Amino acid sequence: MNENRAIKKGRLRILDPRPKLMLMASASTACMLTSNLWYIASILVVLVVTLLIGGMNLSLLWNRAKAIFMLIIMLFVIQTLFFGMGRADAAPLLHIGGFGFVYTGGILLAAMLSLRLLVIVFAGLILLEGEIRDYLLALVQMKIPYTFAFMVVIGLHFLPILREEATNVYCCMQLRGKDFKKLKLTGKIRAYIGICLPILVSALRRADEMSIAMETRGFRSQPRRTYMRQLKMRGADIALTILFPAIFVGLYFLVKFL
Amino acid sequence: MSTEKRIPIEVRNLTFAYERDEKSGTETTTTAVPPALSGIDLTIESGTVVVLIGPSGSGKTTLCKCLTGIIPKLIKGNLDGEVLIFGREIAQDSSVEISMLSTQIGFVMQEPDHQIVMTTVEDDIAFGPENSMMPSPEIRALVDHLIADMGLEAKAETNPNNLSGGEKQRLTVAGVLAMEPEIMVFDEPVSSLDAVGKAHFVEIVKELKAAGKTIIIVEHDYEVFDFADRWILIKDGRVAADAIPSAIPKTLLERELWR
Repeated sequence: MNENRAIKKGRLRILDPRPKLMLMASASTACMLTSNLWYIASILVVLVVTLLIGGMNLSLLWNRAKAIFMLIIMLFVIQTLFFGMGRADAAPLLHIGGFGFVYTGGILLAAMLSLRLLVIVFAGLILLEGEIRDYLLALVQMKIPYTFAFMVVIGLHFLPILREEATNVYCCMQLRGKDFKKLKLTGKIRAYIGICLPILVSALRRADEMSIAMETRGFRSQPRRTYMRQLKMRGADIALTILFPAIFVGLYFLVKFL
Repeated sequence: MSTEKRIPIEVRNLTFAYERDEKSGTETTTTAVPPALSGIDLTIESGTVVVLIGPSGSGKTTLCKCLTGIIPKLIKGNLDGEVLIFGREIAQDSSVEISMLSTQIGFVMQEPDHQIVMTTVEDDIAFGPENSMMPSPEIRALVDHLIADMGLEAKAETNPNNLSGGEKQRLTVAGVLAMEPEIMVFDEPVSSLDAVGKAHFVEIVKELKAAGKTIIIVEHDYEVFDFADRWILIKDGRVAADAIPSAIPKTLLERELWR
């Protein structure tokens, strides 16, 4: 409940979904088109500043993406330690027991890949500051075929349901005597497979019934469909839709000529 | 326009068997399992409430899926006989699509969670009319009306995942009613509801009947619908009894349901 209140205060929330979609698309694309570390870092700064100005709570942000941040840190460490091993032209910065670890190239590559991942994660976090129903309308008003737009939206709609089912299966297993804390790694893997399988079966069944329900309610009976609500872009929304990609183009040339 | 009164549902000698895929080595063969429905003949008049009763696996839900065209359009199997909706054959005619039937026959399935498509209550009710290309102001008026009818005013912008079982049930009914079908089919609508939810659903059915809708209800808890025009007992895919509720002995129903 508190989390929802914190979200509703954000300025990003009242923004039309299209500038947010544009920001996400342009930031993700820009970070993949170049391997310039400074450029990718500057994209990340733009995203973080946007999130902060937009009113995103930092602790909330950390809670939402904690697991991904840990994964990125782990990837950075592994890349840093091992990239460049066995290459004759690379000089290691650290020697342990006759083996060389940590190479300059490895650090740079790890930094670049980690920053790229961070850009993608932060771009995704911006999309969390909005309603799924608005993204559906935005995609359709951007002339994306409605069947594709629905695929995306229904996928997003089902994520919390699947998470709830996973929690239920996890609780059921615990109630029937499975103590996850006492399991060894192989046992844990086996137990998690036991959680995933019923969810997969249930998701397939649900998808099947959902498609039937959609057809019985006339889905795809017409080449187009109408919408009860319409999104209207205000001046600020239009300006930001143009401004976000323009910032990334500008930054590219700035970094290139500096 | 024809003045002849059209019969909403006619089923003639309907037999249906599901198909089962069997794997032997690298080859997959499709075999038919024993029929779920055998020689069903049924005529349902306009404005009537019919309750289908029978033990689990007797073919009630299969019959509903045949009436709504889901079988054989989406679920394949061996089907013989005819299903006529307002005089038009839908089971054998390949040109008939499920979505085309949506304004004639609505189907509320057993699991509300499996048929709620959208992320807010009002959007989910609007889903059907939007598919039918209804103009936006008309959709808004219809949605507001149905939300009020179903007592969901306070939940209009709520995510359906956060509704109670009874509220989800009402939402799915509203979602189907929004298509304004002449025939409504409910598969075990009150099985997961408490006494208040059941009473509310009964009121909805009575209102629909008063509005001239033809209603088919599959339900184990048949006594809730003692006001129905007909109770039909389905046993082993066949019609074992078909009469007004008072004419069917309770002992017969209890014996068949609890055997």
